[in-house]
Amino acid sequence: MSEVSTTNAPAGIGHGHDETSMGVDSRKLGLWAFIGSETLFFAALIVTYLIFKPVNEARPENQLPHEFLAINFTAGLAAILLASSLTMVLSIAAIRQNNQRMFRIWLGATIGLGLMFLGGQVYEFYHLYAEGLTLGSSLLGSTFFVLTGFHGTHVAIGVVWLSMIMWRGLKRGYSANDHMDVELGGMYWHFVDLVWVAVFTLIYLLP
Amino acid sequence: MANVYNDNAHSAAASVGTTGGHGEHGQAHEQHGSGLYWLIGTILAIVTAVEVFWPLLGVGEVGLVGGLVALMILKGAMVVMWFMHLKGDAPVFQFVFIAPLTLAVVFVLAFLLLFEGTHAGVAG
Amino acid sequence: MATIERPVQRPVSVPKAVTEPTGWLSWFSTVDHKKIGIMYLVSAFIFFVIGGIEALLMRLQLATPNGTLLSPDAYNQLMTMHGTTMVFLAVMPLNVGLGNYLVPLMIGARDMAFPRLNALSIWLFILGGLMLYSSFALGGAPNAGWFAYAPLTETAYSPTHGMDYWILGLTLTGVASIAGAVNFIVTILNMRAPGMRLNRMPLFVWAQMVTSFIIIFAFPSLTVAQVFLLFDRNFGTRFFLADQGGDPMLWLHLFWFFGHPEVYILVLPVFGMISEILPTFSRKPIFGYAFIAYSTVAIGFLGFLVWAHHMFGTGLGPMVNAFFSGASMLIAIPTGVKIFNWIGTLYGGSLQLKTAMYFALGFISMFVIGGISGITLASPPVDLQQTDTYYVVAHFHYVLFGGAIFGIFAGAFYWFPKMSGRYLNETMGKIQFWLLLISFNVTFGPMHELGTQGMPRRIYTYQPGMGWDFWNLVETVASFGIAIAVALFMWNVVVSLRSGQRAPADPWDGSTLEWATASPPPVYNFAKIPRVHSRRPLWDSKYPEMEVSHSQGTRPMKRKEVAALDTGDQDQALFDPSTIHLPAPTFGPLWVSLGICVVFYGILYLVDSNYLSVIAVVAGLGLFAFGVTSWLRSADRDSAGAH
Repeated sequence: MSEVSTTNAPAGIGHGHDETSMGVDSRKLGLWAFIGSETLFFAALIVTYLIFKPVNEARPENQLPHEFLAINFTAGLAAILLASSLTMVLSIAAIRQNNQRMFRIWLGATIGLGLMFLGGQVYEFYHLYAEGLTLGSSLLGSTFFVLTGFHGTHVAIGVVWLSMIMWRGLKRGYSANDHMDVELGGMYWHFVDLVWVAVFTLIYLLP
Repeated sequence: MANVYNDNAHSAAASVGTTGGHGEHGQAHEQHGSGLYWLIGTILAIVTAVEVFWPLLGVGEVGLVGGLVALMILKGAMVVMWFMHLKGDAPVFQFVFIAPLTLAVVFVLAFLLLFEGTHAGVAG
Repeated sequence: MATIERPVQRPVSVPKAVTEPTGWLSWFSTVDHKKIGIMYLVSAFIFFVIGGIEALLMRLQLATPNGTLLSPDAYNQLMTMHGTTMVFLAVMPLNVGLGNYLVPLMIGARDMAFPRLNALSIWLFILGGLMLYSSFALGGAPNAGWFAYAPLTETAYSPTHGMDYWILGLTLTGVASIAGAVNFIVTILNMRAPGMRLNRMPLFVWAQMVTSFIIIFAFPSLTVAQVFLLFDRNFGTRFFLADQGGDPMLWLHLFWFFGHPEVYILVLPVFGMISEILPTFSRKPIFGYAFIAYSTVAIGFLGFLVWAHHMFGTGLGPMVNAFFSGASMLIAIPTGVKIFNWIGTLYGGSLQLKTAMYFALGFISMFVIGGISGITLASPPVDLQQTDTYYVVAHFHYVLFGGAIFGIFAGAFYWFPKMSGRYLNETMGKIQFWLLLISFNVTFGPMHELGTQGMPRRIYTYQPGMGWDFWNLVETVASFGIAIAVALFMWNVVVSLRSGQRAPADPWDGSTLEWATASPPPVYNFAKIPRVHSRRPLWDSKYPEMEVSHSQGTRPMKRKEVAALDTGDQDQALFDPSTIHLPAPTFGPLWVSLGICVVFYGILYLVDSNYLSVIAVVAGLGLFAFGVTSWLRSADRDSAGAH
């Protein structure tokens, strides 16, 4: 390339972040901004749950969280998701050292743990529906399922995203100098975990 | 809130002003050893366990809620700072995440406050 | 106060273009920010005209008491679609279109940071608009107002699928807005030419950056509210159903937490345009650059703390009212700062009264009127008297039409030569301006009076003998003056594109980088990325003897560099543009957005026809996946080509 087009990073290419005005990778900056936006999205979902919580209790057809939500089971889900964050970050650490084998193992573990979480959530939803907690049964059902359902959708998107990274890793290969894809997938994954940290405390644990 | 938002805006602007085109921040790729990640992961697991048993300790209403929220913030901060590498990363990343996070917290608190008085009216 | 005499125009040498895809198909695969900008402008203008026709129909209905042109239901649909169209499908994308075209040029970049994401935004916007309008043919348009107050939007009161189209169509455009805003943020922060510090950026770029942050912070609240409403209407939840414990107030708070910042999303980019146009035609630098830039940030920040002033009528209590009233009045300060900066820019300038300047001056005066009626509405006692009357209609039309649309017309006349290589006709433009100014004021001015007399808004007709007949008739007649003015503009565009006077690279003797390249710019924008040393790179290079690098009123600082704009004319002769790497066109973003759109149609009819809807959702996801792979292949080819 001539020096002309390297004065200014080629449009849309995430490489060579030392060429940009802020000295940071464009895609990473974009993803951080998007995550910032998602934070407000989940804040609105969570605050709706909290606003309706006392209203639900005062309703004649109320369904109380502690009668339906199993904390021990969800603590297991939380542990799974936290563990997946650990394996994700280990996977990034591995690819930074060009360790392809550990990169794939840890990434595969992350995907597996993500699938376990989704399976657990499907199981939980199934049981709650069987016990009579549905979208329409009470304010608890409305707020709980929409909030956790959207979180679950984000986990599912994360699993697809990480699977694509795995597939591309096998096909074209990542390296210590070229692993921005992995880092971005990881950032999104950690954010999904972060949301669950909040959901676990505010929805499941708070009395 | 106001200060956090504006200070961040200014520091982002100031840092650009001084670097003026070619970044000297670089990216904060401090090569953390895997050991640190295992340590963080272990602490997160322990904190989660503490969270589950916290309600059994009988610390009273305020202690219960305050403690759980504090533990949640601790966990969240650890995920953001070390797993997402925001600690020590470029200030602009910190700005585009912390500004909306601050706004989100204000948003949640404002909505809780605004809806506090309406429960009786709506519910009963 | 120093003004600048214009020297003989120095031609800017531009090497011949690299091969560029042509033909109508190229518009569907383009990732060029300039083409996408034009697509935004054209599609948004079409929606603007449609929204205008809806307004004319409503005006005809209201011309006389007991009007019979429209049924109440038709009136509700037109009212809802007029508001929704003008806010989401006209003013917002007109700003985005100008931003798309101009921001990369102004900061000296070759394209947006994510050209393919940019293409996704335009297609999601167009498909979202089309989806919204398809509701007219598919069982009835949304009919509960653009603010969609619950519980009117619930199935009991709005049984057609109209509101579902409103939810899902706007979600599509909302995704487009968030993607576009992320793109602007990254482009502006990360793609600036060397030396283009944040505090040297053109004020239009500042405005676009702040607007983009407002978009990513405000839109999630709307999306969540819309998700709740969708679930209420289709999947049995009870978020806004008061009889089941839900709370219509939640809709109000969520909607206006988005809705008020949305006002600034609509108008801040226009502030930016005005801040570019006034200095050029006053022949002197903007007065108080930093004040304008930081007051934009202040407005963006305060805009998040005032949402409940739209809800004084709901009885929030004196504490809440006092807070939101005070915060709302605070916004008058940064806005007033801007007004005085603009006046300070004009003061002592050598004014060149081109059409763009006419519209810019019209903007300032009309916006001040709208701003002042806004301050009156920020006071709860006054608001309680005026809320839900035509006074409010008058207020926001002065801000959004007299403000935003006048400013956008100013921008159109100012940048049309850059986009097309031809001037818009000045005479026609000035006739349009006077016609628009007069008929706008005659249409919306009397609404203040009608509102004070108690005429409620959102009604499809009224009884005779209320004292409202005269002004309503006058307004209806005048509204057709607006229509003629807009038609004149369209005629002007058509004529000027075919046979308008040819414009040089720098037709207005501007100070910002977009004038440093050809009109229209080559696909790569700049043969060589310029190096910037001041806020007015072009004026500094054209007038090295002038001390223009700092605003009048602050003590001028001695500039070290003399040549501000290193376009390197000698180098350009030797320069081969084919070495510039630009992202290749791809249909990926189009497939992705079509896929999302098909999924949304599936969701919309999930309740009625389960079987077909599931097929649509699956097919849409398949199309989405196909689009993503085609997108990634294109991205891989580009990054391979860049090395």
